Amino acid sequence: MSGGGRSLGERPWQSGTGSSQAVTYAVLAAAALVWIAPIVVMVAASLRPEGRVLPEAGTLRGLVPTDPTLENYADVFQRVAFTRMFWNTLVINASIVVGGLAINATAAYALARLEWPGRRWSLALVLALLIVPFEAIAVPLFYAVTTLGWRDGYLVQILPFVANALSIFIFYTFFLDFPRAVEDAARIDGAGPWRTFIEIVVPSSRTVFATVAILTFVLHWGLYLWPLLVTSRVDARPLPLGIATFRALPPVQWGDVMAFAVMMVAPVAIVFAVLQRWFARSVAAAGIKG
Amino acid sequence: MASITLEGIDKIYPDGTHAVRDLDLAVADGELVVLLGPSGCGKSTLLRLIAGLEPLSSGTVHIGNRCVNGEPPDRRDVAMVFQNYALYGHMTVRGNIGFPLRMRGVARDERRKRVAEISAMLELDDVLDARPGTLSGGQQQRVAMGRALVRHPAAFLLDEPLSNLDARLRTHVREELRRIQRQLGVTTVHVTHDQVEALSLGDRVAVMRDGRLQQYAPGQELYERPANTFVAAFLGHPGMNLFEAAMAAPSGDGSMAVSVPGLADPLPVGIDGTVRDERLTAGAAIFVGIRPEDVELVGNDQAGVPGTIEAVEELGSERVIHVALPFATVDLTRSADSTAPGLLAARLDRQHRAPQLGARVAIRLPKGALRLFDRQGRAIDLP
Repeated sequence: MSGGGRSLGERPWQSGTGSSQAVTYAVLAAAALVWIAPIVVMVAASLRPEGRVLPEAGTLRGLVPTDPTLENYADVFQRVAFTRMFWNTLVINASIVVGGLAINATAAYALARLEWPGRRWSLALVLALLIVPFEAIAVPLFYAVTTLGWRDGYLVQILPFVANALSIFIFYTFFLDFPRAVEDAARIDGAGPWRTFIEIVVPSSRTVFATVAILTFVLHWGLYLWPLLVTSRVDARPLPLGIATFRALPPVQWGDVMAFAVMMVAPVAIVFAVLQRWFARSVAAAGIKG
Repeated sequence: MASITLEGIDKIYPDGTHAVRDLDLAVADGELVVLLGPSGCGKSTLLRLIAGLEPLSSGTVHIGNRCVNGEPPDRRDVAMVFQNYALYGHMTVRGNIGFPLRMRGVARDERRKRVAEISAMLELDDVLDARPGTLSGGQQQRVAMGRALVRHPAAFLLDEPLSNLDARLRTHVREELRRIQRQLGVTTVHVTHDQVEALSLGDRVAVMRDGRLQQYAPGQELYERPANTFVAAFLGHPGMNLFEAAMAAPSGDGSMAVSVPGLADPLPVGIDGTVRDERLTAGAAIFVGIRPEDVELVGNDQAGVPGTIEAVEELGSERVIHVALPFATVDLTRSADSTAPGLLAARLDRQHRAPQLGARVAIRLPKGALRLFDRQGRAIDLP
């Protein structure tokens, strides 16, 4: 936010007039095109008869779905167990999101509001974990789950991602700002810490729950490295592994690959569309970069 | 219903802030007591200590005959209304008022009945299914009251519940509050920094400063017989004028007087020379106080202390003038709103003709209206 006391609702790019505004819109339109073009190409190619996908890919015609057909989509279902992989990904992701919301929100509330010995150290630890990339712990974790005999299941793909330092941190900052008087009122009204959290804090925190749900879902929907390490059976694998092998599956048919890709990213778009109302509000309110 | 007894209350926060110091206070069953003081004086902390929202550093809190030290807030049988109401935004008004009952396991039918009773009393029937965010400030305030009243608590704790209302509504809700409190006879502790609210609501008012209780008495007594210079200067708009003086030797007729720096003649204070108090021996340094409404403005030709009008405040029904005298008044409250340091405030009714800025006037300080305080600020009680 620039200086001058501009409020959140104002749009800085609308402050100019005439030609300067036209330039601004042109730049914004170009930026939007860069973002949207690959998605349009993907959707258009997925609807194109197989023989015309590659020849038209670099042309303007590649942006327009001419003679649309659902052939490529049918092909995907015939050539691989897409439904199975989709289901795997959905179950794994839903579990990570739901479990993550429950665990991380509870942990963050305990860090933000309850008094217990070791609270400050725990908070410092969570903050420290923010900078540890998953790749750094993937190998030791791999040995651990192998020893436990957990490979090739859902659990091994869910559990490592449920507790998440970033999610805890986002919840934590939100709960710190939660009006304390409301919690005090609940305590006087007879609610213990647990009921205060469940009945008062959680229902009033929809924006932050939506934010964390979207971030978690988007970050984990495309998870590749970990499932590659811990799954060897095809029927335990999620979509990102599926598309990697599908792309190399002879004969390479780009129309099919694009159809696969469209079906793979669709849930992310849907989740975002459903939750973005709260997400946008909370990003604006908290200044979190999505 | 129950009495509240506080004994030797201390509250020291982990950062070393000493919010409440060695405080004793007894609130009788059914009484409405107001805790009054400037911001940061510890009055809200004291309320939170009674509620159990903060742990005591030392002392005991009794509600009824029961010592509630260490009891959590929900087991103290108190209800509280917060300054910003602290309503549950995701629940309807009905849900808000019924919440304390639900937490206590009151059956649904009974709950509905009691919510209906309260909402009828507070005229909230029409908004029972609305969410608090859609209500006006006054309605939100009543919802907060309803939530507190619905479970018939032993005591009612109010933390500046009127401060978010506009001036007209505040007066109305204040009367409403008083009416409900009398009707239910519930023991109430009300925190405010607004002295008008305190004096008009409280059976008794406890004035606090820097965590200490300064005086605990009915409002009129606080005003007329302040226990110390802080209470004297804090109450009233403007507060009591205070200035430094020294006891003079008793005059021939045995009455006492004080000598004020800058004044040639001693100022009679209306005390019989037979009063024996070591603080009144000749030469003892004291503070003299007089309420602005007791200051008399007299014609220039009459005997009085000469002065110049430096400021005039028009207040509608009356006006307050600030007069520069040969001696300066002192500001012992260190209040930020003292607009005229060193000047003596006088309250005049409309019958006085409009005083001119810069006019030379003479004022008289009637001896019966003067109050004396020792240099520690404690009132010297006169017979």
